[in-house]
Amino acid sequence: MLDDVLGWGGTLPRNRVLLVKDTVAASASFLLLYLLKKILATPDSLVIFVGLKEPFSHYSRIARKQGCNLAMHQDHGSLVYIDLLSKTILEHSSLPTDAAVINEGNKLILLFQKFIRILKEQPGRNTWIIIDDISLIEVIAQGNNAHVRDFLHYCRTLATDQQICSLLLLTHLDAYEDIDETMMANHLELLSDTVINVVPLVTGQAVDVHGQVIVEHKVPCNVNPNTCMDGFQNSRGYGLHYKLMENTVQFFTPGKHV
Amino acid sequence: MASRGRSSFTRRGGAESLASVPSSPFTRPGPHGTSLISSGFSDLDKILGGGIPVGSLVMVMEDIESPHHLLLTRYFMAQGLVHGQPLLFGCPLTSPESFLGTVPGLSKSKESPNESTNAKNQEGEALRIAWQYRKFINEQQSLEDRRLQQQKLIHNSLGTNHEYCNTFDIRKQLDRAFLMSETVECTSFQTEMTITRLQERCQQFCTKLSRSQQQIGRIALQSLCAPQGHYFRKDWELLNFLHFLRGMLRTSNAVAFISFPADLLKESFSIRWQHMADILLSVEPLLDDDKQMAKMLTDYSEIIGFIRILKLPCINTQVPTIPESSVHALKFARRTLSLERLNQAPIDATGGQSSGGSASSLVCSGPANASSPLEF
Repeated sequence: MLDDVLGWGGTLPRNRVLLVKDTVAASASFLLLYLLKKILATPDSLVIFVGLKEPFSHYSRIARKQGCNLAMHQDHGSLVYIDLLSKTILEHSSLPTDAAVINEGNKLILLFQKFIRILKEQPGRNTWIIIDDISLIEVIAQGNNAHVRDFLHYCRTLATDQQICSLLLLTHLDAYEDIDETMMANHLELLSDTVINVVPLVTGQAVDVHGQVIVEHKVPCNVNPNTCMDGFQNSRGYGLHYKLMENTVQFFTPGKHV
Repeated sequence: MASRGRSSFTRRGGAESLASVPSSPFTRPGPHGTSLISSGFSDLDKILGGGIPVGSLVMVMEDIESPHHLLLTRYFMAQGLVHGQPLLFGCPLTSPESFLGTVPGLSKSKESPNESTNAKNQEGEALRIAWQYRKFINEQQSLEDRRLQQQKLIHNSLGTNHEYCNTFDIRKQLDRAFLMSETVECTSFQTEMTITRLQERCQQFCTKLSRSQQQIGRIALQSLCAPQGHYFRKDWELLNFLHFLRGMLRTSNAVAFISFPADLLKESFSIRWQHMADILLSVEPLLDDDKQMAKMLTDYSEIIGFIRILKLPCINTQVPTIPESSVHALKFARRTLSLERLNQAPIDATGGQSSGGSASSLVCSGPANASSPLEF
């Protein structure tokens, strides 16, 4: 159902920038794993997963319950996991220390260089870079917005200009409500082709509906028109309700859950 | 709790893997391969689904008008001390040791009724003894009692007390013997000048925990971003510290319990802090003489405040746990604290901040994030 709304029904799109926004009451990490599973299932795909929020064991346990072995994908080379929760960027970079010291000002450059290295090693694959999440990238940059914007811009050029990868970025919808913070949110919005908002129901938490996703396309996509007619559609985009279970996620149009 | 998804069916593999882990008496196997420790408050444990998962970050949003976050911190610390678990405590006071003196003591154990019957029997015997000897016998008995009490205390501190969650009496003081332990460390946010120093302290604390003995460390940081401490207004550094702490906890046998004054942070930073937490609670005050409230709640006099459940642990699973009710009344009756679900399911729009208006808005109000009060 979500695939139809996203336009992922037939083949995966290439060179897109997807932005997922979540809230404290409804976390969107399930959506990242859902899309990750989808990408890994297609042949000749490569995923670079930057994990800042949870350890690898957390992701792999959840994915295993859904029939996707992340460790196996890692061994086969279709998944590169960059753990930035327990390690720092400097520990990850294999650059000589001189270069690391020069770049001390902007550590995110090192992360970007790592992306480039992986992309050059394996050209021609349908590559996705997944970052969980951008707000923690800002924390790593110690709140230096210019560095974060540079980094995001470089990543975007990989997708749009060089057309060698796609981006899937997670950020928080509610973390940019201060006036001086809105610029970052606007910047992220501007970068992306598709925005997915994950918000709780307005009536609060419920056991059978965990929240709703609202998909907003900024560039034309091959969206299946039939399903979108069913879903509610407001000025922001197409909305679907979802229910999470251990081994799957159910998406359904509001009121149609049995 | 049905919402935890527990059923009578258990997977064989799961049970075996749990059994293979040598469990310490103070932990319980939790869902999804986690192990739980007690928060020291049995009602809160129940709401959290059995306890706090090891490796998680608990955050309590403080309220300006109510000091109940201190109560929760005290209970959390007291339980760790009674279990002999290493403790790292930090607060913005210049002498954090003084806070340790306010940690509640164990309330009377269940054996007490037996003791009282014993005493009655002895009284009966004593009647037969000539009255002159009575004084002498009483003296001896009191000496013996004291010896017994000492022995019991030593036993307790050695870990023969196998209770998962003890009951504490806030009016009592925890025995000095527990506080004198070498595993209790204190730090002050006024003397520890930099956050990196605090970070090092936490790291040292976690690396010291012995894996073989299944030691579980407790880190309690009270009012982390309070203006008295040196970390006030160092927003990004504090977030960096929290991110580091989260990463460290996940790989070590420790739990962190942090309370922070959310109103003193900028709105966007407060949200970022909330995103960092595994378990997020907020405390709210009960306004004095709220007549509307008193009418609605029958046991109004016993209630001292409210605790709101904002986030429950979601470790190794994607399914969120939905609490039966988000607001619980904190009651103080018969020397013990208890949490009780409010009968009317209250949903309130003012998350964290003390509601400026009538507290009855807690009990009856519109949905959490409706654009208009009439919308559902």
